[in-house]
Formats: sequence, structure tokens, C-alpha cells
Amino acid sequence: MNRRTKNFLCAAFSLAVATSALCAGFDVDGDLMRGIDDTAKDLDSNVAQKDAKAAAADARSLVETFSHIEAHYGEKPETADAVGFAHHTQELAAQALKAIEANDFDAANTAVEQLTRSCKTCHEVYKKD
Amino acid sequence: MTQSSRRDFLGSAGLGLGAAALGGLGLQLNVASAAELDDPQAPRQPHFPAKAKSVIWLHMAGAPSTLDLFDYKPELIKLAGKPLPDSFAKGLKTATDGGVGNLLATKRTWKQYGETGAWVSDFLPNLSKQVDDIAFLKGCKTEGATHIISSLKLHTAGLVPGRPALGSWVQYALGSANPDLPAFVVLPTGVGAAGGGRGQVIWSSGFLPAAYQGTAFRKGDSPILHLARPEGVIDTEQRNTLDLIKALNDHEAVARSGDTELAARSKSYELAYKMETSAPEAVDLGKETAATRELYGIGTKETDEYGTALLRARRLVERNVRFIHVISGAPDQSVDSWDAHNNLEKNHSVMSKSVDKPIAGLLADLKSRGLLDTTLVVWTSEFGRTPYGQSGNGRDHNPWGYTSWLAGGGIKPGTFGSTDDIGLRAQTGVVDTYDLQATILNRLGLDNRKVTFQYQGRQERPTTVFGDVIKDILV
Repeated sequence: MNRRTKNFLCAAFSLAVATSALCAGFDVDGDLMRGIDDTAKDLDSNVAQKDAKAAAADARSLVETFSHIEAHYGEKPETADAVGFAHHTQELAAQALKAIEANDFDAANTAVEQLTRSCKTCHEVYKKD
Repeated sequence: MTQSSRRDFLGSAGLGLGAAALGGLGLQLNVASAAELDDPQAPRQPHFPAKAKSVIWLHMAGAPSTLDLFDYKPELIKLAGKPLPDSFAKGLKTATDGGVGNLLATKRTWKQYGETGAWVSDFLPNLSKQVDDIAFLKGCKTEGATHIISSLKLHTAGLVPGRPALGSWVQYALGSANPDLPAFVVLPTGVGAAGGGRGQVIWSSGFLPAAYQGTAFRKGDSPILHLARPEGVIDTEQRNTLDLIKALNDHEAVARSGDTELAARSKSYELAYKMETSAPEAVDLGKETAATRELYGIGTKETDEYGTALLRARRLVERNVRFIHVISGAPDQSVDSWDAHNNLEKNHSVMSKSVDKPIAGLLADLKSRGLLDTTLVVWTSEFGRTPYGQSGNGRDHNPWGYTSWLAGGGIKPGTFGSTDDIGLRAQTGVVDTYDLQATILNRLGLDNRKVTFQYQGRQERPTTVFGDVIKDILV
């Protein structure tokens, strides 16, 4: 199985896991964050390599995951600002997806850079330790 | 500590070119083409004009307490002896052996120095005179709470072994400016293991071709193992042998035009031959004046070894070595490293004394020779230390807030960022290790997002997907 197929299957699997997690009660935990970290790195790499199919799958996965995270934090009043972080990151993933679908990899690269910054910004507040 | 030998170097160069050869089979090498990697030493152009030609990275292995060196906290002194307030501790996950102690005040005397008014404690009386050349990053933060993990992150941007050290990326991206010396030299000093945070893994080339790994120089006149010709072999014999090998390799190469390993092997033999003379000459301090040696603290027991390493570093800069990684160690057996979980006063007295005069001497010497403008000096460690105590008179690891500094090579002096009132967490001007790495690359004329190497299907970068240049400290 080549890397791209693997990436696609991993992204599809992540999506499936994320969807089923939502149904079963979505957990924002270390495993989920490591998965996001890995997907973001894949997205970054696939954008750099202009692999539209794999990059789009990664971006879709992130849009989906961050929408679940936004919903998750929306249920907790004490973490209201996390809703904003998750929403913003979701928007950036959507921007990256739109740029990838338009074959504009420079714009996609910029969106991915901002997305990883958004991850760091959120972690300045959450998981500071 | 494992030392590199000339055989290792040759082996590495050969192995490294195997990886480079893969580039010719389809891997994309964005900075250096596969053809250029036939010769890993070949100089390559930066992305934009560089401000610095060389980097001297002063790694304080074991993690000094910057709360006792640079980060003056009157509030901590006021609160000393009290438990860590909840207002500061909120969300903090600690794993302090023996439990989190009460807040521990610095015992040092503090003053502001220079036009920049930087605070420095009396642990560093010599360095305090150089503050006007230094940009202090007081809002540093990282991840991990063990030396090895945080040291890997600091040097390789990864939390587990396998990624290349920053010096390896620099050598990969820029090649060597001196064909007779490696572009990435490591100068380990002292004794102690610093919890594993100063081993070979922090100067590894990781997934980059092995030719880009740091070359560790030993103490003494012969910096690389097996560097000298074997006894009984005269220069002419060795030259004739190398010429014969080269002729045979060249003959073989005619039928193997795509064999980059063979070409590289021939080149690595030549480099090793040149290094027989260039490496000892580079570290020979015999021609340095008594005043220069004294400036670095050479000849004084406490500072002799570290001072010698730093004077060698300056000589390597003069010889256009791009990245010199000096790793601190304890000057004697009385302490292990900066890792002061107990008896911090004694530990930091010994460690500060061993580095203070040599580092101040290095900055002054570089400046007087007109080299500081093009040499980036970086002082940092894997993390800092906590404002709360451990074992009564020590401090635990603190990845949440500490100080690093840079000087020279396109850096604007001053103080950037801060920790909270007790020095526990970075509060403003927060700088992660990725940002520090991106800034160093930027001063060398490299865009951290454009230095790439494809490994296992992924386009890898020196700072992974993170890393923002700290623009506030750039000239």
C-alpha cells in the first residue's frame, strides 16, 4: 500500500472514528490531540507536495474533527473560549480545503500555517502544562 | 560519551550518500538537489541574504535556574516560604519527586546593567558586562519534564529520537563554507550526563543522510579519533595510497555513472586527508596570545576546559564552520551538571563560575575581531527551573517559563517577553523552541518552511509544522 493510499485510509478512518466518537460521546483527550497533530503534519506535507487528493482528505478530516470539538466545548460553559478556538481552527481547515480544491497550494500553505498557529494559541490556554 | 572517529566520519559519509542516492531515485530534495548531495559539503545558497554566517550554540545541559541568573522576581522573594498560590498553580500538572515545596527565593544579589538595563545576578559578574549585546528571551516555554525529551525537542524539534539536530539541517541546507572541515562541529565539555540530555542523540542527523551529523571534537591536540596517520606511514605513502584508490574508483566510476556513493566515498577520503592537518590546526591554541587565553579563563582551574572549548569555537568560526554546538558539563566531580534538584547554591556557584568568564570572553573577543556581527551566539537549555523548592534547597524542572538569550548575527539587544510574577510560566512574548529554531535559521538566510526533506512519504521540516521567527529581536 503506498503512502497516499495509507494517508487516505487513515484520514477516512479518523473521520469514521471521529463520527462514531461523537455518537458515543466525543472525548477531547490526548489520543485525539495526537491524531490531530499527525493529521496536521500530513496535511502540511501533502500541501507542500501538491498532492490534492490526500491533502483534501486531511483537511476534511480536520474540519470534521474541529466541528466535533466545537460542539464538545459548547456543552461546557467553563470552557467557552475553547469554542472560539475550535471554530477558528475549523474555519482555517475549511479555508485550506477550499484552496486545495482550487489547486491554489500557496493559499493552502498559508491556511495550514495559520492553522498550526491556531493550535498553539489554543494550547497557550488549554494544556499549558 | 561516544566520540566520533575519522573512521566513523568516513563511514557516515558513505552511508549518508546512500540516502542521498535515493534522492536521485525520486525523492524530492528541495534545498539541495540530489546532484549537489553527491558532495554533502558543497556550499549551497540561502533563501535570502543571511545576517549570520555561523552559529555558536551554548547548550547549558541539565537546565540552569534562570530565576537565579536573569529573571529577577521581587514577588517571589516576598512570597518565599509560602505554598505555591492556587492563582499561579491553576491547571499545572507537577511531578516533583518528594512533592512541590514552598516558594524558594533567590539568594543572589541583583543589579541592572548596561544601557538596556538587563537584570543579572551576581552569579554572572563577567557576563553582566556584555548585556548590551544580548537579546534576552524571558518568555521561553517548551514541553516535557525530563531532560532527554525536552533536550530532543530543543535540538531536533521532536520528542523522541530520530529527527535531525538543527546543526544537521543547517549543514544540509547550506553545505560547508570550508571544504577542509565539517560544517557542524560539537564540542562537549566537562563530566556528567545531565539526565541523558547531552548525549550523541542531540547532534544526530536523524533521517537526513548521516554525512550531516555533528562531528564531535575531543579535548586535546588531536580532536578526532584516529585522525593522525598510522605510525610508520609517511605522508608520501599515504598520498600515493589515496591517489591509487582514487584512480581505481575513477576507473570504476566510468561504468557506474549514477553511483553517487562511489563519488562521495572518494570525496570523503580527500576530506579526511585534509582534516589530518586542518582539524588540529583549527583547535591549536598555541598561536593565541596570553591576553586572549586569559580572556577566556584558560589557565584557571574552574574555567580552563569551557574556556578552551569557546576559544576553539571562535577559531572554528574564523574558519567558516557554520554550526558549533558547545555542550556544558560539570568542571569537576562536585556536581553533575546544572541539574540542581538540591543544593542549588552550591551547584550554580560551580556551574556559573565555569561558564561566566568564558562566555563573556567569547562575546568580547568576537566583538573586538568584528566577528560578532556575523556570528549568532545562542544560550539556552532544555527547560528552566521552578520557583517552588525541591528537597528544601533545590528547584525542579520548569518547562513552562524560563530565559534563553541570543547575541550577535542580526539580533537586536534588549529584553523580550516575561514570565509571571513568580517566574513559573511564560506570560508575554512567549517563545517556544520551534520559534527559537526558526529564528536561528532566519538569521542564516533560511526560511524554516522551505527547508524540506522527504522521509517516509512526508515532507519534513526543521521545525515541523510550527516555528515563527521572533521578529521583535531582529535587526
